Amino acid sequence: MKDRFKTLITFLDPKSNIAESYRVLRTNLQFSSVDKKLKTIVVTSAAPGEGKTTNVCNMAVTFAQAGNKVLLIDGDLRKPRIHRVFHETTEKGLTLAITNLVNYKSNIVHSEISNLDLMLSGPIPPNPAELLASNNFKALLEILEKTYDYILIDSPPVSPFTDAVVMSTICDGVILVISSGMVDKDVIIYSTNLFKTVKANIIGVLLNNLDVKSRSNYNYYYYNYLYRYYYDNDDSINKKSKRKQKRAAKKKRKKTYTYGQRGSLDDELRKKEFMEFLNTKEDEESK
Amino acid sequence: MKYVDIHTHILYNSDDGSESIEQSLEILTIAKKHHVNSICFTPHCFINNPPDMQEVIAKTNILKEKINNNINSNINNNINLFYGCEIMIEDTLPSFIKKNEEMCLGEGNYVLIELPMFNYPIYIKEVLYQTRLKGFIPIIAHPERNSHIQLETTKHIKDIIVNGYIQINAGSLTGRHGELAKKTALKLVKRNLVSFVASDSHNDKGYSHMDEAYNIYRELKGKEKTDQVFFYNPYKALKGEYIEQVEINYIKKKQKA
Repeated sequence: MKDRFKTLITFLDPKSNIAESYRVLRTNLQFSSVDKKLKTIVVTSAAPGEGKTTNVCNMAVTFAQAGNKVLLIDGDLRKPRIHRVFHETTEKGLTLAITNLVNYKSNIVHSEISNLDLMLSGPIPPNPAELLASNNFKALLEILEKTYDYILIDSPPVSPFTDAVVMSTICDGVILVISSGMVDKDVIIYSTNLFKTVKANIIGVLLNNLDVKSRSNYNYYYYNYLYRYYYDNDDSINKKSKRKQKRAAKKKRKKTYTYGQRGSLDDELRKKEFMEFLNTKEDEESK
Repeated sequence: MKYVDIHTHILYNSDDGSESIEQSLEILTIAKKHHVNSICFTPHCFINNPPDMQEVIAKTNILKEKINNNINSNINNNINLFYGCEIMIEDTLPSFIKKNEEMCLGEGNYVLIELPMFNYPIYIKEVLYQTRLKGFIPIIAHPERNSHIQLETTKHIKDIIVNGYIQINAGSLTGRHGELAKKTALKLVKRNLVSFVASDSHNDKGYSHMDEAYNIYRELKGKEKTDQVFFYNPYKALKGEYIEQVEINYIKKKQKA
């Protein structure tokens, strides 16, 4: 259960800040191509552990929440993980569907989320790259494209394995997930060149794990501030405004005190000094 | 503590196990003393020379009747009996099993597969994948007794873990099969790679190791996991239910200073 609570944020807390940014990603994807509609999208990364699976699952959920019919395929036939997120078994899945095209429907699982269907990995083959390069996989995708609006495919990392490059030649586009500060620049350039050699369509880069606090980026700060201002509960806003009112009042008080009082103080002091001076003179004269 | 035993050679006159009905009944009474809830008979099977399954089914039925009718014996509250086969690995295994489905363990679709002692079959990955595609789930019997796996455990275990489950012997946990077997068995247990423990018993001595192995396992992993490995997982396998697959936890080697 732990795994699930971690990963599926868009399902568990759809009003959260993070889910909102996934929605931004969705609109960006929908309007990124003008001529051809993007249907099959492969999600990869340069190195392992950059956040492919979490991003794919959450993207699929957000696409489904918008009313599209979505199929999420676990194309990572080396270390499949999507079945752990959705708590399913890997008895049926992609490899069985590829080897037996007629019964492909029995290998699709309906998830709890409406409009979202899953195709898990199935038994793990000794030769994943050849299986994904086969004509059967191409035919399977062509059949699935007719019934679904979007097909999202998870995949193993690019730099050690060639699976994602093979799949990108068949699919409409590729998204590279990059974890900030984790991978060397040269590795990313190398992996993008791999896609360029097969003339795959790289839609864009998803920057993951960005530490917002350490970077004093004005835009991010402003976005967070506005988000809170718009979405948070009324009480918290009132508290904030009260605090700000107090601070403003303090500032005002200080200002008024300093400006008004200083002049008057000076005058009184002068008067006092003058009076004292006069008194002393009078005293001296009287003596 | 209760046991479900999925790997025995107790069935009389079928392999190198027990030799007569009296001996196998005797072993069953001993098994009941050691709190064995249900037993699966798994005689050896070579693909060139398979046992007659009709005969195996008939023998298990005879034993069932004998146990139920025998009021005076200690096993009158009955042990559940199942049958299956322990199949020696070969590259034609997937198609062979598709023809003989009654060789699966109990009522499910799990298959017990044996590795040779002093060889490592290079086609094991392909065979396990193909059996999975045919709709059966492989269990590898006592991999800790294979000499190649004893020397290079993680390298070879990766091939098995991907599509299959691991069953180790109670005897190798206690040291009956030698020091190296014990060492590798403990290594597998510590890394949570084991899904079943069974007594590979050929005679009446097999079950005395079961209690000892239970205590060893319990000291290492706690009560919940031991009960799962000794009772719940084997029960699920006999009924054909899904068992959670294990994953390799890589242990980093300490760098030499």
